Amino acid sequence: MIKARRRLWIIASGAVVLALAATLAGVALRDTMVFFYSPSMVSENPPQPGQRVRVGGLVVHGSVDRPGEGGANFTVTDGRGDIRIEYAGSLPDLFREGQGIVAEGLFGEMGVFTADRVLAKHDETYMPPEVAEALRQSGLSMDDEGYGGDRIEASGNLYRGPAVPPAAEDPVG
Amino acid sequence: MIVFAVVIALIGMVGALYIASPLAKGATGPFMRLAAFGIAALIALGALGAYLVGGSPGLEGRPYTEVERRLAEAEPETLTLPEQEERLRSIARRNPDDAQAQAMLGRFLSRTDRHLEGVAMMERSLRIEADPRVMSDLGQSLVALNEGQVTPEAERAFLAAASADPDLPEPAFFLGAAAYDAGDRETAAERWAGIVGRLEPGDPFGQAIASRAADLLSRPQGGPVSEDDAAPFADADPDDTDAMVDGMIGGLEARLQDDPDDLSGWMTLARVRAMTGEPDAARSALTQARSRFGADAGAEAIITALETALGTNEDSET
Amino acid sequence: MIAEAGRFLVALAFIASLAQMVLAWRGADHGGLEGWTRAGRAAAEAAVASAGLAFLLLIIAFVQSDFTIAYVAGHSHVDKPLVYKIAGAWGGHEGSMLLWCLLLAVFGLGLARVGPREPAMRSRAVSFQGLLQTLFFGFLAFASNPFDRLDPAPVQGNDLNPILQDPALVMHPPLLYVGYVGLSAAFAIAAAGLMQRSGGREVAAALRPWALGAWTSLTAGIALGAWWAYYELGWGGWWFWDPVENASFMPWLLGAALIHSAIATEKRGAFPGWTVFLALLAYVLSILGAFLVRSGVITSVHAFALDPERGVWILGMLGVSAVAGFALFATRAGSLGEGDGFAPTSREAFIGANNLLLAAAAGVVLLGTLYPLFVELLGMPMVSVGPPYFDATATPLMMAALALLPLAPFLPWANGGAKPALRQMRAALALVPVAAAGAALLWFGAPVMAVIAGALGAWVLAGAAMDAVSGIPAAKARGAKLAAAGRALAHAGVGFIALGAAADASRPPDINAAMAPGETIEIAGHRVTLREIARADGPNYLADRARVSVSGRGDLFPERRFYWGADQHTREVGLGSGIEGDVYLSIGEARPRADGSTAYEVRAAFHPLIWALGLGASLVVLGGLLALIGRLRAPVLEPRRKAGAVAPGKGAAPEPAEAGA
Repeated sequence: MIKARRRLWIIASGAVVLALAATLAGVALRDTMVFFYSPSMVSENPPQPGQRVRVGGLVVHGSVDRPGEGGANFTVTDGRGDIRIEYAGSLPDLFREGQGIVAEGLFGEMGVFTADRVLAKHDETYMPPEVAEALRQSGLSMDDEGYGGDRIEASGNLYRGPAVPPAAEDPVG
Repeated sequence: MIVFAVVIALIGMVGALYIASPLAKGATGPFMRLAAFGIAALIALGALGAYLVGGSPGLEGRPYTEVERRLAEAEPETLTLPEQEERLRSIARRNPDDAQAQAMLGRFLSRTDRHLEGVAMMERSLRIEADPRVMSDLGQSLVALNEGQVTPEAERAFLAAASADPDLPEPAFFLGAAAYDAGDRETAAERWAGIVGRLEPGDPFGQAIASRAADLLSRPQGGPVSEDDAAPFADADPDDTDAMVDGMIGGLEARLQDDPDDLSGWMTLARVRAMTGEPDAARSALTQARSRFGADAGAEAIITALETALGTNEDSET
Repeated sequence: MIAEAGRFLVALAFIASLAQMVLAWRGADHGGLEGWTRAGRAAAEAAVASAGLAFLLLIIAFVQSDFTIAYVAGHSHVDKPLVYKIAGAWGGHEGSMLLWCLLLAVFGLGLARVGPREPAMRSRAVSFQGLLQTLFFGFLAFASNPFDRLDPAPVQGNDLNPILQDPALVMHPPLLYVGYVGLSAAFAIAAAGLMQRSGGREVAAALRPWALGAWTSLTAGIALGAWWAYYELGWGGWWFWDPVENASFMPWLLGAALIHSAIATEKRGAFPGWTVFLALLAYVLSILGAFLVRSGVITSVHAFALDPERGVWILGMLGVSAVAGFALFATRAGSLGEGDGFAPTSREAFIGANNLLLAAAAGVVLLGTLYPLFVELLGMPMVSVGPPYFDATATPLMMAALALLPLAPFLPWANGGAKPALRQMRAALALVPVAAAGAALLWFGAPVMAVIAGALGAWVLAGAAMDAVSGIPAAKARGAKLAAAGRALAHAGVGFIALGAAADASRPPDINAAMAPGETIEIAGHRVTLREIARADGPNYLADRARVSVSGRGDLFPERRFYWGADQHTREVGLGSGIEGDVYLSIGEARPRADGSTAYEVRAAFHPLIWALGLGASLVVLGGLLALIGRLRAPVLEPRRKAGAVAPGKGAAPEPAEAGA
């Protein structure tokens, strides 16, 4: 009798904790989930300004602009659309022109995306899955991208001389 | 190959027998001993089979020291680019105090567009020995690294190189270019005329510098002139409206009246005249330039280069 | 020759593992005493020897820079310093998989030598471990072989990912893998116990030291990883709720739950089924972690390169292990025994409650980590789940666990009775509001969660101190004293971690600025002046080193490096440590300004009390080690605790808790 009652409260308290955790998770998931938009999705059906989203694509060659007061602005593309991204932080070391990146942040009124996080990969041959998928859908595959050969551009910035982005033609646009 | 076969056969058999031996030891009858033997055989053969999936028993290993030896013995011309690079790297690595070895690698890296590394290697070389040639190469790598801009670092390198060996053409050319970029055409003209004059008359470097100087110095002033724009000036775009051209010519002539000691000014005038279809006026501007600067062999060569480019020299009396 | 011999040894280890599984199984059928069992052990020894030798050969190939081996060519460079050449052997997917397999085999041998006391069960556990080894060695040999060759071979290698060329990262994977793989031993013992229909107490007693050792190592590995992320990645943080971090955090949470539930099961026979289930689940989640990290299915900053084939293999291994374990559990859990009852205020009840909270935390982390994947599989728009989700779910659950933690050691077993405990805890209870007020005052304007976490940290610390004062003297045997000290230390460590996490969550915003030499910014009252930038090249990289004066911290020297072999930039952070926290600086790219000067990206941050995290993690590891040593000195199966016995010192391991605020 006592044993049965004890079992009951163990099960009951377990159920309560689990139900609580599940509710918590459900609510949090709904509130914090961030949707991914490819540039062409943005041009077709843009998210609300102020809504937190992720965007991604290939960084357009020559689009990176590093203002003297810090931060960096650049354009990503999936071949069918472009997004101009403004970022106040320090770009990840693996950020390269022509490479796939994902940025998280908000669209402003003018269609400019303000990112507070930019993800580039540790592995240079890596393509973020979202970006890979978006590129596949837009018909622009990785093979069209020149990966080698932008060594100077990458290294040019290390040296203290001013680094002017090279006038390489943009294979995407 | 045979050694390898023996080695893996040994390893496999030892491993297999080791695993099966407790069975054989504890065996109560011949059946168990046979089973133990069978298991050992299975293990050895299984390992061999698993190895052969994707194994390449005939492929020798090649430690880096072997690569290094092979590259050191080979004729550089027979090597691929990565191999040449590796060869230079290995020489530089093994002779860290050999300035030339470091510089060779630095030049190679710069030539193959890895200017940053090239710069680092040349700096290393210069720390060992301040060779003006290397100094000049360093300056050029810095210029290439910065998309053609002569940065203060590059200028310092060129100055050091020019003061150690004034007859080096590249430092003088780039120092002139730096002055030119800064808007100081007088210094630029001095630098260029100086080096062209110091070089042998037929020197290809001298000719190249003279024609480049002729192009740059004869460009209309005002507005940024891209140093990258190396297109022959025959193709230069004469799309300006006539009024603007006239105004410019007028201003230029007035200025030359006040200050006739302006080589670039005379050259610009000559070029504009030539482009507006007044070859005689162009010729006279060139004559003016010659009369003031012709004593300087370098300036003379630059003026001649401009003349050739403008196509006015055939008709010239001088 | 080295490469091919290595490949053969991998193949041999695979076959030996297979033999281990089969022979030990038959040995267990025969009672675990005959030749079959000994042959199974010999197979485990052969697997360890071949895998160990293969690993050694791989290291030799790295030292020689033999670029005919694809893995070496992909992860080494002749100019790389020797220590990173050696560490390259576990710096990439294939090599780290070889290390994983080697450790699996080592744990297999460990089970065969010092595994469960009962011979048949030991042999069965060795056999289950053989199954796990076979799966992973198969993956290694046929889909991820580190000895795959290149022909023609490149003259030079691609170098090891430069961010991995770091002292902390040399030790991070081995420690992490000892943790992951150590949980396999708990899995094998749990499965063997089910197979042999052993009682729950026997199973719990047998798997406890393995779980404790594995969890301790996992803690050390995760802590090193977090430390590395803090100072090497240069992002100004130590925990990002990244999928790969979550992949290690889920087994860690379950491991923490397991080492505590195993105590209750061993000592009191409480919830045996749950303990065994946890042991199975913890390792399954370790494999899931490997899947997340190595298949590239999820956007993460740490993951290895995208490779769907690998993902399929790992999913297969995951499936086999999970099906084997849980099918056994479903059919045989009844034999573990029902478990004895206990009162709501007993220690079992508190351990059980903390278990629930930890498992729930692991559950919400799992949900958040896998949700984007599910959504994508269902063909819905792609989503990501980030830190806000985890902060809102896992953090409160772990905080609840923290609130319960200090009470448990003062509660009696079985019948319970909170009054004596509350009396003993009076001082700590009084301290909590004080601490909460102090924390709120100190970090005025700090997030509510951080204030609560800070107060909880203080509460846990106070509880641990009181536990040490009363528990260690009360323990009679040497082992029990060690265990009591371990528990107090580990709990104190958890308290420090909570404090550190709370402090870091209330840090001032980071500053990103472009600075030219001579310019000054200010962070948290420290004046930060960029003095100069100078070249500081290393053996395989070029570097710009900044000299930055920080008021109160002297000169710091953050670097930005370019590794030519890998063609990649990295940053070395400048850290100015002090009692109130770290000034944290990293420099980035140079950029020209309109006035012709050159400015450098500078990221400046202030991390208050960040040392508390390091101290906390060290204490947890130290506590885990002491508890492990204490456990090894104790009898293999301790006599069942009498109902109502209060023995705070008797053989206990750290309580669950963690704060990830």
